[in-house]
Amino acid sequence: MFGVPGASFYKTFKEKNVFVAELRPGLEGMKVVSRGFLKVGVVPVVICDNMMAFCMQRGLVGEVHIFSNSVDTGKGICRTGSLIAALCAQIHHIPVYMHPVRNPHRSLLNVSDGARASQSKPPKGPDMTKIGNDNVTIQGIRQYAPLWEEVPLSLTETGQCNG
Amino acid sequence: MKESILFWPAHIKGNTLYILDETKIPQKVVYLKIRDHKEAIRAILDMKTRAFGQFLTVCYTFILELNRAKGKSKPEQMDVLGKVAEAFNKSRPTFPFEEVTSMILGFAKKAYASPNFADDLIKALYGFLEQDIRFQRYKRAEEASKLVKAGDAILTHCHVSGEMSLIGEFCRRDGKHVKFFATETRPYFQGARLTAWELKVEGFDVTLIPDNAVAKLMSEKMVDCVIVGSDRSAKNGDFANKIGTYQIALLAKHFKIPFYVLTQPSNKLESGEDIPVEIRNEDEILTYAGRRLAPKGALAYYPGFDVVGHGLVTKHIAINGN
Repeated sequence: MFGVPGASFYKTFKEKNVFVAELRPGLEGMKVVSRGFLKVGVVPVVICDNMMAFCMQRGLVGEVHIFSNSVDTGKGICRTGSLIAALCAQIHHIPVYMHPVRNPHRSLLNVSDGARASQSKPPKGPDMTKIGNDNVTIQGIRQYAPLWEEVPLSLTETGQCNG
Repeated sequence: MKESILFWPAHIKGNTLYILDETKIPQKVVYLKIRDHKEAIRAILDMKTRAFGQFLTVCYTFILELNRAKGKSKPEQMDVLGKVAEAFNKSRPTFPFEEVTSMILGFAKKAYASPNFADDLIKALYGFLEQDIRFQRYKRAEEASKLVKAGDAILTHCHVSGEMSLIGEFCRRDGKHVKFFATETRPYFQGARLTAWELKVEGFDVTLIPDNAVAKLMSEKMVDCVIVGSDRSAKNGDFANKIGTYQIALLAKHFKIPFYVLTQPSNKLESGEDIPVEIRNEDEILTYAGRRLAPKGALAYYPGFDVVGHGLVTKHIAINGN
């Protein structure tokens, strides 16, 4: 599971064994998505975003789900890291499903811990040097944390974004 | 050439081993005082030192224990060395402790006939570290720098014990301006805490990225090559490194970006399939600075390393020049 699904997704999702990518820098995967699964009785297993290919290589992943807030000319606009999930899945012959998300920004706001994934204008961007009030590294290091990226629909099982 | 403090993160002074506590960087530069092998192993288990720091810790701990055992007979001293080796070999699974301790015990067997056994062995170990290993690491960094062109953007993952800044220094010497992208390397943030900090302090152009932004950068042609380190190698060129390296190697191949690895060759294991991957405590993902980040009830899975097949590597840059 890479990205933040809409609220209705959890109730309709049938699988009971779920890896949830944590989604740096805001950690919405660890916080928001995990909570969504816990509410419907599924115990999520959180992994860091850099562990996806390892889990696929070891045969621990049967399908990959990513989430798109819009589709344009054969590409879904998804949370950054979705392209990694989709490409690594393709390499490991694992089906990828892309789901549309309504109100995708809502889930990115009000994240109390971790860096804020702000969508305000102009986008200040998340601060990767902190987790909550704890410093991870020194201030002043240049950061690049794009929140969205394009994922070709051709990487998905159905070639389209569907619920 | 200017060295980062992370290039040589341990040293001996008197009867004490000083290990740079990498978990405190960059907020503090603190050295742990180690007086015996049990304390050294505790530092390794707590990830106070890692990668090349572990190698140095093993070598220096043998020197430390030899110094402590100086009044003993040669068989007793050998017995001490054997016990130290055994303790290190059991400490963490992925790093090749057994290869390092076997090498040192090999030095000990060669020196055993000497009437000054302990002193000769200590001298041999210092010589091996300060001359051979230091020289080889410089040579490896220089070779890596020659693969980089002026204006290139280098993506790196985790931390290569001060060698990335040395590669930068060689580029600088040759008049090549290069840029670095450092992944933050969850969950321990070695990329954010060590690599990005070190490169920034040494005056290099460095940008910190989340681990999940690698494909985005590559797809937008922002990366010219990848350089990573390795914790363990197999005979066929497969290697293990910090979790996330395999993912980056797959992406580099997909986007046709050269992928270089700094290695120390080994013939002990046939392939990467024989490298054990350490699974660490889930709390290291679910908490930060003692505070739980995940909702109660969520679990986590934390493989500490992954294995990259040799077919994904453009070039191995080996410490012995192999």
